[in-house]
Amino acid sequence: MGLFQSKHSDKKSPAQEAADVVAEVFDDQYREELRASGRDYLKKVMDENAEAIKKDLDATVAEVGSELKSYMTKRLDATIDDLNTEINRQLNERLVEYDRVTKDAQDQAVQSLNRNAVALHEKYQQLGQTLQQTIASQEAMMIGVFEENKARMAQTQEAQDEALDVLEHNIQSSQERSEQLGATLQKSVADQEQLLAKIFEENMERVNATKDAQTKALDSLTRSAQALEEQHQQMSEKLAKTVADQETMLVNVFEENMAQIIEHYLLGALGDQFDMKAQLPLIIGQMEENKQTIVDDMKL
Amino acid sequence: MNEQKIKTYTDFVLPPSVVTRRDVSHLIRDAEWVDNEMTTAQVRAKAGSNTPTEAAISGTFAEFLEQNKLTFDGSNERSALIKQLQLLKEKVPVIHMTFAVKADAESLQKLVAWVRESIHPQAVIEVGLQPALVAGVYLRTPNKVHDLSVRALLAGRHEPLVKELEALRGN
Repeated sequence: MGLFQSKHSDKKSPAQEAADVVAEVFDDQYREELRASGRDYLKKVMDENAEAIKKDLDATVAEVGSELKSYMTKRLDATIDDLNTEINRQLNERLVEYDRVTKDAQDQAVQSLNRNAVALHEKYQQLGQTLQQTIASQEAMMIGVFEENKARMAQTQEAQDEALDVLEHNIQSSQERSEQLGATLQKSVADQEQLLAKIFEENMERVNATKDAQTKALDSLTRSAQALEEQHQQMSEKLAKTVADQETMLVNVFEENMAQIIEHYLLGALGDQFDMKAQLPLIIGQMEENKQTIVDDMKL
Repeated sequence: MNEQKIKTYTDFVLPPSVVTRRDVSHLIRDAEWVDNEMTTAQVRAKAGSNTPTEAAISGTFAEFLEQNKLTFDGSNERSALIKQLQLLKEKVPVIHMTFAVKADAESLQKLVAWVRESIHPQAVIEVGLQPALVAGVYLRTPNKVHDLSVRALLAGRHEPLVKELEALRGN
């Protein structure tokens, strides 16, 4: 470096000159214009790129959406197919099981029905046999009974004949008794008439006595009514007198109470008017009146 | 001094300010207090103390001593007087008086003066208060009761009032 400095001269090198020219050409204004031009160009390029990127992005999004939709549709269809298959399989299994259970139940029911039918048939046969035996025994019994009734009827016929004879005999005896009773009845009626006449007379006497008693009772009632009326009148007089007395007593009580009220009022009015000094002459005067009694008591 | 020796509680004259038995008790208390003070003073005097020890006698007690012409110097005299005062307190005649309003000291002194003049020279009174009496006095001696109140006065006069009312009703 020191060597070059020692060879330093006033003549500028081309590079220096070029640098100077560049410095002159590329002044601040030119640089600012270049910057503005660059910014415009950059903006333009960026807008163009942004538009292209936006288009590409829209296309990509549309494509991705389409593919996603297709993919999801396929997956959904596959899932639905799987589900349908699984449901069908489970349904088939359940149906098979149901058919098997139903068949078993039907078989058991059929077997039970068959057993019941057999038992019913056996019971039917037993009942038939029992019925035949019963009918046979009933027939035998009915025949026996018929024979017995027949014999009884014959006996009854004989008894009826005997009873008829007895009845005829009884009718005759009854007629005789009836005649006797008629005579006795006539006699009794006569006796009753006499008795009734006697009773009637006695009753008449009693009725007359009752009439007398009623008359007396009416007289007594009349007297009682008069006495009651007199008592009522006396009680009315007494009540009037009592009311008058009560009224007088109430008036007296009222006057007494009024006197007490007046006295109370006077006491209340006077009580506040006298102090001890004002009362002193009255007290000494009253004590003077009772002086001898007090002295005598104090001496005891 | 000879006059004092023959005085007993029956000879005592009570000043007007001694109205109740409590006042007699105050007299005894004052007498005892003065006696103590004077005894103390004598003991101190014998011991050579120079402290002034003159006992102050209250107004009522001084009045009592003056009215009865008593001295209170000797120890024996004091003891005898205190004893007689205690006897007086026990024996003093008491009249119970109940008033309708509160009695002031002046009225009580007038009353007790009349009582001592008219009833008994050594009598004291015991005071009570009963507003229902309206006015007058309800007096109780050892064996009797005298209702000298306005209430009793009016209670016996109902009939004239009733007659007046009857006359009004008649009109």
